[in-house]
Amino acid sequence: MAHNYPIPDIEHLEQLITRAYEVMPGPDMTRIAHIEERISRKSRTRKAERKVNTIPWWVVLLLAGGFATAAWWAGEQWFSNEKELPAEVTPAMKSGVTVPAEVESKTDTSREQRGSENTIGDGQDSPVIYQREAY
Amino acid sequence: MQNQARQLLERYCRKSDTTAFNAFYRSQSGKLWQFLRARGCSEDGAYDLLAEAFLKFIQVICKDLRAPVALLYRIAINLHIDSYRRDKASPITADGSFVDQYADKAVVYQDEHEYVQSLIKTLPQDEQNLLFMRYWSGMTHKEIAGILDMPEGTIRRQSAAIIKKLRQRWQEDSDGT
Repeated sequence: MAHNYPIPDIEHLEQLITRAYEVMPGPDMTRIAHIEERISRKSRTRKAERKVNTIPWWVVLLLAGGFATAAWWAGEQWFSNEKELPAEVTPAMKSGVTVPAEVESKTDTSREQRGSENTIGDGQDSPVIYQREAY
Repeated sequence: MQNQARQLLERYCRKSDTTAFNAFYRSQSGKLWQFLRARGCSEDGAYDLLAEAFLKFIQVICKDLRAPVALLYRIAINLHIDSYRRDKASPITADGSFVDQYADKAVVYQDEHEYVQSLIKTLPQDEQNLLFMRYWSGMTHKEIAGILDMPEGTIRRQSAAIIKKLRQRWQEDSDGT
């Protein structure tokens, strides 16, 4: 590989390298255009695929909406059932229970009987412990 | 170069502008084809790898628009390595016609340019790739570092070492006269 070219400086050598690549044979432009067409077709189908990919998000949105509606409905049901319950459960003894008249008359007679029984032993065991005397 | 490419691809990714992508393709396809040929691909193999590289490129480019040209070349290099492994053949001897064509011309070089071509062909494949990307594709050291996944300083040192080696061989050949 002998030659008689002068040794180039770095800058000139870089220029020579660039020119060496310039003479490289280039591609066939019809084949490059054919590949371009193929890639364009592929990128268009990719765009369609990207549109299809939004469907799962719509499904998620619908499900989320459905769950929210179900939760709202369940809440409504819960609160309406609470209103039907009595406000306060009161014990039977404290409530104003009316005693039937028959039962009351019976109790009265028994008291009278007891009173007459008490008078039998008068002076011995009086039920009156203390009574203020009226002057 | 990267900025212009990035602008075109931003238009493609954000506005689905296919004409912008086609402009990017036209600006890069020729050089990428030559790059693949320089790496030892056959003529048809270079077209196939070019198409495959761009098809892979459009699938990933919109995720990261920082260095699109570097990404394209890295994809092409990886595809070429894969095809080389598949074929189990040397990338240099896969299609000797391209290399031989240069070698034959170099024997009867008539000027400095032909001599430089023959000098480049004597370099190892990695060094030829580096020279191609630096002086023909016009990439910066940083961009090449991104493609080859190496530190920028290493690429800088390697570039300087290749130029030094070429000058040294030039000197040796001229001494031989």
